[in-house]
Amino acid sequence: MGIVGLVYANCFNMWIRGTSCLYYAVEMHNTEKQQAQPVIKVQERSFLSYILSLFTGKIFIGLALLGCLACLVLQYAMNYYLQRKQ
Amino acid sequence: MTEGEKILIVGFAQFEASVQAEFSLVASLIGLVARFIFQPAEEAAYIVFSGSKQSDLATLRQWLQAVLAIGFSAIVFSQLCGANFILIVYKEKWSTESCTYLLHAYCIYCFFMAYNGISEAYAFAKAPPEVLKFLRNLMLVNSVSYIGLSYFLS
Repeated sequence: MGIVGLVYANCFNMWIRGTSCLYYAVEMHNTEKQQAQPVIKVQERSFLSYILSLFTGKIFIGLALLGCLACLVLQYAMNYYLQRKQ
Repeated sequence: MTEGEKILIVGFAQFEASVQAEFSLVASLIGLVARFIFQPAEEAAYIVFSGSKQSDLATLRQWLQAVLAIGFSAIVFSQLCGANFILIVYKEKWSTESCTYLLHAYCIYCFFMAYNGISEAYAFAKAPPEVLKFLRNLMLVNSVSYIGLSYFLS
C-alpha cells in the first residue's frame, strides 16, 4: 500500500482506542443505572445501539448535510476559479 | 506516536524523498484541522464531562455526533475537492495522484481521530482508576501493534 498504509494503520489504531473507551462508557452507564435501582432489572443499553444512534441523530445528520453542501459549493467555486485561470 | 511515525518513514520503510515530502505536506495540512478544531473540542468536552458526577451518555452522544459530522465532512471534502484544493493551494508541483490519495486517507484518519478524541475525553473524565489503568495498557499494546501494522501495510 505504500505510505498510505501508515495512515490506515493509524486509522485502525484510533478506531480500536475509541471503541474501547466508548465500550467502557456504555458499560459504566449500565452499571451505574443498575446500582441506582438494584431491585428492578434495568434495561441495558447495548453498545451497538449506541453506535447506531450516533449516526442517526439530528446533530450528525444536520451537520453532515451542512458539510456536504459546503463541499459542493466549494467544489463549484474551485472549478470556476480554475476555468477562469486557464 | 508522531516521532515513531517519522522513524518508520525515514528508517524502517525507507520511502523516497518525494513520497516523504508529500506525506509531510498532507500531515501538516490535516494537523491544522486537528489542532484548531479537534483539540479544543476534546479539551472542552473533557471539562464538561468532568463537571457532571453521573455518567452522561446523552451529552457524549451530542459531542460525538458533532465531531463525527466534521470528520465525515472532511471525507466528503477530500473526495469532491481534494485534487483541486491541492492544485490551488500548493500549485501543480504537488498536485499528483499520490498526494490526492494521501489526502483521502488522511481525511478518513481525521474521522477516526475525532471519534477517538471525544471517546477518550469521556473515559478519562469518568472512568474509575482500574479502567483507566486498563485503557493505558491498551494504549501501550496499540502503539506496539501500530508499528507492526504500519510495517505490514506499507
